[in-house]
Amino acid sequence: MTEQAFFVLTALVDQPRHGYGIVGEVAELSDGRVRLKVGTLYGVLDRLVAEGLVDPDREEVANGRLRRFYRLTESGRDALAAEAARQAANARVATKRLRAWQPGAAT
Amino acid sequence: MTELERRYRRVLRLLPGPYRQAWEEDMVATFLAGAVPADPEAAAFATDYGRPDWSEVVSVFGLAVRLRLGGADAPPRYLAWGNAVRLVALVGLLVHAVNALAGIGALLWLPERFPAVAVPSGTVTVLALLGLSWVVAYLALVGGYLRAARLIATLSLAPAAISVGMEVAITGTDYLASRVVELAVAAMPVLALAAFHREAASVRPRPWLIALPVGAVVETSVLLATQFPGGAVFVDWPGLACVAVLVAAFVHRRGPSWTAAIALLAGATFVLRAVTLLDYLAAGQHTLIIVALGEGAAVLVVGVPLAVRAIRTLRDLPATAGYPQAAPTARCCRWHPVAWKPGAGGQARVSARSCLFAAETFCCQRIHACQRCPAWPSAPRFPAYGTAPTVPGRPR
Repeated sequence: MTEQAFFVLTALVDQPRHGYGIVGEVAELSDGRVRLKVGTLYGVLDRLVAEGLVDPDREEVANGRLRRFYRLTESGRDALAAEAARQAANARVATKRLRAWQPGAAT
Repeated sequence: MTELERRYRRVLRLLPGPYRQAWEEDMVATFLAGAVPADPEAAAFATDYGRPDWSEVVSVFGLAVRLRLGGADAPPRYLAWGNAVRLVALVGLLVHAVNALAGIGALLWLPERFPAVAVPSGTVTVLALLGLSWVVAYLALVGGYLRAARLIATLSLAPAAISVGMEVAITGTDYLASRVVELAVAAMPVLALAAFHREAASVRPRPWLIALPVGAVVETSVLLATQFPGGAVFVDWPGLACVAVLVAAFVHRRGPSWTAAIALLAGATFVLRAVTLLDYLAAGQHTLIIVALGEGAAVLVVGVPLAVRAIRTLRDLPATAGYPQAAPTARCCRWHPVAWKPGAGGQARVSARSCLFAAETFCCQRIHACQRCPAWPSAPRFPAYGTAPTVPGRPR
């Protein structure tokens, strides 16, 4: 799973969001580090929809324009949980090593 | 439609049609939500004079490359295009690698065969050794190390670019056109590496690994057989490429991707032959002119039908099956997309919410009456814009 897909799925955990909502939420979740461009967002979103991790939810009209909302599916939730567990395990290993090899501790 | 929206939609035309049908409206909405500031004055300026940011254009371009040069899950047409361009990259890097190996070989045998002229200078030797980076790039690609392959292949173009620069500095701009074209043709497989994206299937290494030494031996044998003092056969590099393309056109594997790949390579080879022919014409080298004319004509005669066949076959392949589709949408009238929800009896029905959307704008009222729109059941004071789709989810 790419970092972008990871953040898009994370952004949809609490509620369905539309495209621009996802962009904003991803920027917030990543402390402004991941700024999705529209082409990138839909490149990620179309794959997630095709894989069944995300589903189109409903459509609303705002400012005379149709907004399509997306929601996380059950399998999307599972995939995100699995990926988060994997990353957490990786981080734990690294943290453990770093703690054991703190400067001064080795000597 | 504002000027900004029109400009963004123009950028989106890079994407394949079926994809646009599924995603364009949503992409435009998302883009405009981010690009138009909240302040009314600034918003008016942005919608009238704003242009999509270059980074937005780049992101759409990247998406277009990934979709049009599709991977395993792409519709058959885009998968075939993707495979064709991947073959161009593989074959092109193979040719570079084979040339590099044959060039090192030539450094060894040239002084024996041409004792009077050929004493390889330091620069020539260094350039030949640097050329071996093509071999590394090729092996990285075949081994699946795509990022390494892309980086090394791009760096490998540098010696070629430097030698073009040096040549122009020494001899002037007489041969500038042909050198630049040679460089562009050399860069073609490097650009084609873009088709090796995340969704592309990995390369089957075995045949490509065998092809490298076989190609080097064949090229060295051809050079040994043709290059000797007072030799009567004129084989220059573009000529050799012409012969290789002609052979490949007759023995290549059947299938749209191979046909398209050979056609693309034939096109590049023809361009290379044509510009070097112009050099010979300027220099008045008659024998070379006749040989080059023959080679160019042969590539044209074989390449054009090949290209026609490739285009026809690729065009006939389906471009929609297996495409990532979003929620089914259709247009209520020419200007406004609305959501069609499948209703009873397989009829398409517009949700009340979408209908508001269609009704709040003047277009349905003034230009097109939306026949199925419950808000305008008896609206047709003006000609209707076609009929609503009967199959749910199929845009008309």
